Amino acid sequence: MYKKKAIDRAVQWDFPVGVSKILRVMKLTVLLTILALVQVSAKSFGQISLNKTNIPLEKVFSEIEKQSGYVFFYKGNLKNIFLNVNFKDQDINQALAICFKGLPLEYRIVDKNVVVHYKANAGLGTADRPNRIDEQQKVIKGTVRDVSSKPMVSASVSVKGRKELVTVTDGNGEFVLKDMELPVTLVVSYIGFKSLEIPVKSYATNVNIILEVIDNKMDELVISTGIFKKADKSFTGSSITVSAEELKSFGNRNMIVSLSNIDPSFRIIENNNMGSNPNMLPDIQIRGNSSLPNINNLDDIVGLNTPLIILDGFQSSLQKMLDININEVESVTILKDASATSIYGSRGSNGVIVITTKLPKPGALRISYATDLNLEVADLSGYRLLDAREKLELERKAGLYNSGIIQYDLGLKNYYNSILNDINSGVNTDWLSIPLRTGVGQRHNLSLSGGVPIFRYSASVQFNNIEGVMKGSARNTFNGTVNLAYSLKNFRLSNQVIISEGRSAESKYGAFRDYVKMNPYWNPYDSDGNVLKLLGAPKSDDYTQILWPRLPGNPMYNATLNGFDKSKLSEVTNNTSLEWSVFTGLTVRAQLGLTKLTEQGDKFRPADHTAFANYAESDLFRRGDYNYRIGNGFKYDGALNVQFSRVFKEKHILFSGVDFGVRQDRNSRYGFLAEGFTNPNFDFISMALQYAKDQKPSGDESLVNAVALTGNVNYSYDDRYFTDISVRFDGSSQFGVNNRIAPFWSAGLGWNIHNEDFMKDQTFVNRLKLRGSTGITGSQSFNAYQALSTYRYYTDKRYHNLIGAYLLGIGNEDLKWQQSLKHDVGFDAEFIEGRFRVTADYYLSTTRDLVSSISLPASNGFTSYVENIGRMRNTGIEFRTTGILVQQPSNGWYWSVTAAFSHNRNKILNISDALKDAQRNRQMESSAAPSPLYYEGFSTNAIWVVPSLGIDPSNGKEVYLDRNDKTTYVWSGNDLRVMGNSEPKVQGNFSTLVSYRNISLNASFGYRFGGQQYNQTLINMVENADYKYNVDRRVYEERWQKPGDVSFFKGLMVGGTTYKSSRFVQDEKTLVCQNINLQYVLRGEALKRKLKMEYLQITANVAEPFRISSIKQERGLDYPFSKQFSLGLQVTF
Amino acid sequence: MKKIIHVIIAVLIIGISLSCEKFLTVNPKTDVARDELFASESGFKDAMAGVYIRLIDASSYGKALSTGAIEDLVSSWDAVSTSPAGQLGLFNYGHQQVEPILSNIFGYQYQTIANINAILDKIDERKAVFAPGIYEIIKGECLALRAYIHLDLLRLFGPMPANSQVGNKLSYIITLSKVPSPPLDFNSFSTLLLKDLQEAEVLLKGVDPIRSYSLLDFKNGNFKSEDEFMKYRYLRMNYYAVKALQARAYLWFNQPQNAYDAAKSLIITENLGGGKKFRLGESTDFNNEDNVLTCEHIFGLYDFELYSKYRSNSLIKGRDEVVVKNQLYGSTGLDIRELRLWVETKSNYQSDYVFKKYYSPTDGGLLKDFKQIPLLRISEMYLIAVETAGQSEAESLWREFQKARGLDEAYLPNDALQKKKLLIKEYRKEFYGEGQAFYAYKRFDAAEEDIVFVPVEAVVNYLPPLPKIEGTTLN
Repeated sequence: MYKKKAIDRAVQWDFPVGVSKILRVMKLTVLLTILALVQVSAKSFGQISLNKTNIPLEKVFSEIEKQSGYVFFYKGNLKNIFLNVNFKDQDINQALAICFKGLPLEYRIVDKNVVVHYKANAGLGTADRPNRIDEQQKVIKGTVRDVSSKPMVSASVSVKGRKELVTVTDGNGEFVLKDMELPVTLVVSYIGFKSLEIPVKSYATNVNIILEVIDNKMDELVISTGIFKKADKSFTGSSITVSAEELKSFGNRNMIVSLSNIDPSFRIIENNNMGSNPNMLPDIQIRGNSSLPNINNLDDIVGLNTPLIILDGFQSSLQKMLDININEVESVTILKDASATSIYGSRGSNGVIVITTKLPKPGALRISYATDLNLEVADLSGYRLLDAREKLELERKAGLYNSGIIQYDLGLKNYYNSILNDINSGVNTDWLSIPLRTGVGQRHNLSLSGGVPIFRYSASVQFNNIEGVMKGSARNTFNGTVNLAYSLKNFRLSNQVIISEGRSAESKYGAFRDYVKMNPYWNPYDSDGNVLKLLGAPKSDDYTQILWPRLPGNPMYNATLNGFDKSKLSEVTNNTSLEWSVFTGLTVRAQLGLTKLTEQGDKFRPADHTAFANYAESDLFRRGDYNYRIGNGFKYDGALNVQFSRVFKEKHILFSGVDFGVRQDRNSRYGFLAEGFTNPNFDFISMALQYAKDQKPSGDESLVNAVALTGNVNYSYDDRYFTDISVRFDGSSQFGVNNRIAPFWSAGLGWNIHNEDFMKDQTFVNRLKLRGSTGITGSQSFNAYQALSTYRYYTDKRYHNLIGAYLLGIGNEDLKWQQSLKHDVGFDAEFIEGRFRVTADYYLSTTRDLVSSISLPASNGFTSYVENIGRMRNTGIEFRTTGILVQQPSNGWYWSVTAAFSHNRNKILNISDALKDAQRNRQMESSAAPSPLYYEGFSTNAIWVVPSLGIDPSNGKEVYLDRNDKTTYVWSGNDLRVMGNSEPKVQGNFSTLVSYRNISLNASFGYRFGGQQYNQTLINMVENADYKYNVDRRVYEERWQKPGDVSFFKGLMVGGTTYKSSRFVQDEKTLVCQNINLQYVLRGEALKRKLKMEYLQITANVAEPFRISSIKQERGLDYPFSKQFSLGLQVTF
Repeated sequence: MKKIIHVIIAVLIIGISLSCEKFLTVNPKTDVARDELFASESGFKDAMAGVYIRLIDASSYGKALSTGAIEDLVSSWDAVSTSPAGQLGLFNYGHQQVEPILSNIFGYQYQTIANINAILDKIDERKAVFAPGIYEIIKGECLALRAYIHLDLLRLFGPMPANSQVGNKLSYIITLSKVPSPPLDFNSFSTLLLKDLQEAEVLLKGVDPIRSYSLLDFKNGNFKSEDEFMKYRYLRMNYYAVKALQARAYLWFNQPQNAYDAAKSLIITENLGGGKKFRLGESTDFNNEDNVLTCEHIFGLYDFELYSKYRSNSLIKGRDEVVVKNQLYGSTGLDIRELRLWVETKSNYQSDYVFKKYYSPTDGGLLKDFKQIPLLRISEMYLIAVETAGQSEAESLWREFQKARGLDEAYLPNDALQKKKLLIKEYRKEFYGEGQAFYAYKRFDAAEEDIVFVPVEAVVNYLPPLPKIEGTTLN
């Protein structure tokens, strides 16, 4: 038998069994902690040195154990072996190679264990003499154990290349294979463990095999679902797993952008107003839009489809995903279909993102440092504005300087001349550049990790400073993480503490659009270089009264004041997990996650701010205000998880798990406004004169309690046919009393065709897995209390001396979660030894029981209540292929290309009448931009506008088509039709990775076509342009001017305001270069010798360097989009 | 080992599912779940007070149904014909600015009913939480208020009593539910309404302190109660208010004898120590600046904002006294309402003739706190009795009433038509700015020439359509 030479040998136990167990754990913890600390401080980072002559081998082992933390396992008597060793500062591999040179022994490093045994046919005397009978019978015997030397029951042992020769280990972990012709290679596998191939050259010895748990979650064989681990070969769900390295090589902004650069079904809905504002939370969809807003939040559609984000098994937030330290991430898995997401029940509908952070790796202390320098440059390619002279000429043509009344006319002409004088003297202000800068951001990350196998630790700190392209706009995040992992015998305890703080500051310069519209002939400064408060002041006389009854404000003025708009978010998370391997195949895990969140917002506007310019004389002392907001949140998430797996009768592999979870999420926020800051230098809130007049504190609060029971069974027959069944029961306080517990389920089937007999003889297809699944998931992104009939107290009213309460609405005791019925079929294939890989999916997802308001007759007291009504469908295709075109390890060349596309179609099948009624006003709205409208039979992304036949060449007016297909000059909201769809038919990306030895280049591109966009620039900045302000160049060049002109745009002075019209719906074809990443990596001996480094990486990255689109419009209205250039360095010691 | 785990899991699951229901029941912080509110008596009281707060809202008796839309319908105030008030005066119910006004009243009143039903639906099962008498008070008030609001909805949107087959059918809502209630015809509606009043009367009769204390006792503190909730019965739907409402309802439902009985019972009600419980107001009351005549209020609503409301937003009829005096009061020179309820104000170069019923007394103080919106007054009981009693009794009541108003030479014609015309006029004079005139015109089916101040271009129509928010599917 193997001896285990572990540290516990040194400790003598003389306690009663029960007590001693506990004490042992405690003592060991203390001991290990001290040991680890001593190691950290005393050791030269895992380097082994030894200089001894004629030393017993066992002594060498213990020396190496001491210095490296590795533990030796060996069998039999090594006492007779003496050797001379002399080496210095070697790592474990080299040290062992030197020690074992010439010895009749073999060794293998498994995790942090060194397993030593005699060479198979060594001539020296061994402990177990070869058994002649076995030899005659050609029998191979062996034992399979796990790292802790526990025998593994039902592990599968087969002979490589001969699938029919397979056996499983018995209750002692032993196996016997008879009639074997040597040499053979045994393949030993067990679910959840790394498979091992062992060459056997002799019948003589027992083959002793130690299987290692798959710790590394990036192993392609395992899908991390956040609750249960699933083997990829028998997983029927649709998912994509992205490693940390991939994330980094696909972008340097944040994880969300990188993910969307990789998987086209993970979409960031572009926000043309907010552009690249670093403080904006993106709107994300996986596989389309699955929720509709309700009648009271029609304008509040951002975030409805945000997927569930799971960080190491606990629910997290989008903000966290945005701010997370990417260096701490091991992998990210996107779960898409029912089979993958139904284990999240009522939260899984929008898809699930599972983020797995790195586990501390054992070994000597390793320190790694990474830094980035990021430059952000505004992308103004969509802006095509007039210069000063052109602008003035346009104004003249538009008749701004003409008046029928003679004395006015004269004044206007004078004003015109004074502007012209300014222009002639060289005034041509580039207003766009005023609020912009080149943002210089930096990111620093320091991490360390190490430990022995039973106790491992890691810690990291990150500081990330993002500077936006608007002056003063910034986001600073700090992340600190400490991971501890402790394993003893069958127990594994790990704890993770994450502290993060995000501070954001908004630019004092306000909205970018205010600068876009400024006339270039205005000078923002007076002759002394001071910033003007008002622009366009005439040199003399009062003729501006006609053109400018009030002079336009200088948007820059507020930026000169001592104001601020900043917020801060702090979060502390502690995740603890205790895992107990009861016996091989059965693990019990308990975990608890606690998160405390604090947010604070401060916005101060001094008295001089233009927002107070209109205050009456009596209110002058009320100028200047301070808006203070504070929020607190606390949540806990606990789970008890039991997983069981076993192989029956060689071919039946069963994996099952049960998970019970409890969750509470409590949030509160409040804020108030104080006003009257008479002295601009005092910006502390207590300097306010008073609370804002006639206002009271605002706030909201929510508490959600939820419990869940999840069960999952995965059964695989002969690695060929497999099925996945999940059931989840979810209970949540958000739902009506009568529907507190609801079931969710999924069922999937799969077929590994490549394991079939008929596929055996070919080598072209390595893998072909067909899979299909169906199931139900839910989403609960709605108000925590809407299922209740609740009362609210009047705070500002009373009846005589009595306080009173009133009913807020009719609750719905039957309210339940919104459900999605999802179907998915797909396949995963690999050809030519993995050189080509293809994954494809077709899905159909129907959202049912949308939470929506139902109209009631007014006599019921309330005109609506919330009910589950409405259905919506998303269908789509996803396709992803990777080809390794060049793979020449000999000369170091590697080239691969990946292409992916997704297609999604969304259709509303049924909505409530209340929702239709609520939209009527929006439909009739005579606005320039179309509002999203939700009607049955159409997509949520449909563009609702009045069909236009273009501009009548005879009079420059727009000709519309009304609902009866008659032409008309009159615009009416009744004539709205769907004239486009902003969701592209095909959206995808492709990337190419080229590497030569240490250098690699990754370039990724995104494209979309087949959809339409409503070109707001054309309508706002050309057609409806206010000529008093600057406009798009096309006003000048392309408008209708005289009868007979065939023009896209209306006449300059014809027909008033233009409302949403199909004229501005344009087909979109866009190609974006998402990211280019160049890396240079150094590692190995030379580096170590010269720089004492283990690893060195230098990265250059460009985000969104260019973009080609069929639509020419201004992008980034309130905040411009940006390009990012960055340079990074990463070293590990 | 396996067994132990199974046991642990089983225990956990059972234990957790038992506490599950509790865990999954979450109550908001800023709001109170209905069941939680109604766990105690004070919760019921707060909900009850909430109903009264709703009643003094501008969408209800705080404005729309006292001086607002309901008076605009009978052109009580000067209004430009294009304004919503002007369009109301033209009975132009389809006008796009009029529709929301009426539908707002409709929706708001029914919402108040929903608030009442929310109490009534729970009060019986929670009977145990009440101190003696409070259950009866709250339930009685709720039932009667439900009837009061329903009656006004019917009077505004329902058919004319003289021709009850024609016009909208309305729902009489007796429970809070998401299931729509069917609209009822005039008779079925009246049955439910009168039943509520009957029940309320029985409940309040034994417990309402207003029966044993005079109005003055309540005002000067002779009535002592530890419970603030019970202190001001004249500001609440009390026992006598129920009786008065019965009189008003019976009259509307064409049951003159019952109306007479109820009205008469109130006229003759005396305090324990003698003297009328509700006396008619006189010029002395006006001298005391009690313009709303609180001594007459069988039921009034206390509106602490009443004075400030009308300080900035005056009710104007005409530039000077001529129109009001001539057309409304017939220039008697004696009628205290003619003499004391209006004032001519001058601002800049313009003068306005302003209605000052809701004006603040010149000096405040508790004794001059008349911030009451009159909902049921003894004068209405006199008019009901005059209308329904035999001729001789009617004449004597009429004289009594007219005398109080300063008119000694009162004459009540015997001729039905003449009497009707007289009463139509009197309702308008007596309840000016109290929201009762439209209902009176509607009940009497007053012809255009009998409606004081009606614009010449108006086409009289007492049947507003059912607001769109009620939906058309049910009718």
